[in-house]
Amino acid sequence: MDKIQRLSSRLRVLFLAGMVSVPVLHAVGWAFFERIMATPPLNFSSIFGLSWGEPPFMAGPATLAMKLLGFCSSMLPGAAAMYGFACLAGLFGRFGKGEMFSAATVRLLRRLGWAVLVAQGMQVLHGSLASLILTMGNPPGRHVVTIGLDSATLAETVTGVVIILASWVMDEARKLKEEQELVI
Amino acid sequence: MPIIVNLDVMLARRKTASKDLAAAIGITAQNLSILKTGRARAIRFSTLAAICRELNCQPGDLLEYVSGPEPEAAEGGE
Repeated sequence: MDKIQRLSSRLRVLFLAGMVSVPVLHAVGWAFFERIMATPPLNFSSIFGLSWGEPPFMAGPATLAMKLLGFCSSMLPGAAAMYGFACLAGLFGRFGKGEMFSAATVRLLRRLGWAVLVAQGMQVLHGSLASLILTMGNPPGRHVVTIGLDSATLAETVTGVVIILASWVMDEARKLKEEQELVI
Repeated sequence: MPIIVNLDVMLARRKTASKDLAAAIGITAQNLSILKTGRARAIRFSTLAAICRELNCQPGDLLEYVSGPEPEAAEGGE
């Protein structure tokens, strides 16, 4: 129990840092769009909504408006990710206090599952929006809208469903615990 | 719940304080309060036996059945 509490407290801090880092990472990513896309090891394609890591044909460099719109678009899944991190931080904060099977932990786990699912839907939407935003400066006939699902999106969708299912199992455990507490 | 716990009556008859009984039978005052107020879902035979020993009474002195709505099936308990 002590080990769980100790580790949970550390993980809570890590998840809070993750929550704060999401918008920062996205802002930095879009601010240095060209440089990052030209540097393969730094290719944060998921931030830019580019499933294949390659930007669509662009007639010119990304403008400030494109970058701002791109940032707003990428914050659609980013906001869901931030919410997911907030749920994780809350969940591990409660684990850190020794609160394992309570209505609050069940609720946080369920919300995490939904956040993962919503983030995947938003990621698909962001992919389409990003392609439109990045080609908005192209001449007529050269605008691009892409829509796509990749294996990572599908895998994370399954993960979201599994987390929601786990929250149902945890809720049953909570009921058993509460029942047990009333056996004197 | 159609089972009524008459622990408070028996405590009054024996002139015993709740916390003294709780200490004597090895449960917390909070759990004894749950039992007294009828919020308990079940009582272990070992707890019942300890209460009967300390208060010098029979299980029937502590528990009473009154007809009323039955609890939901498989609600647990011993």
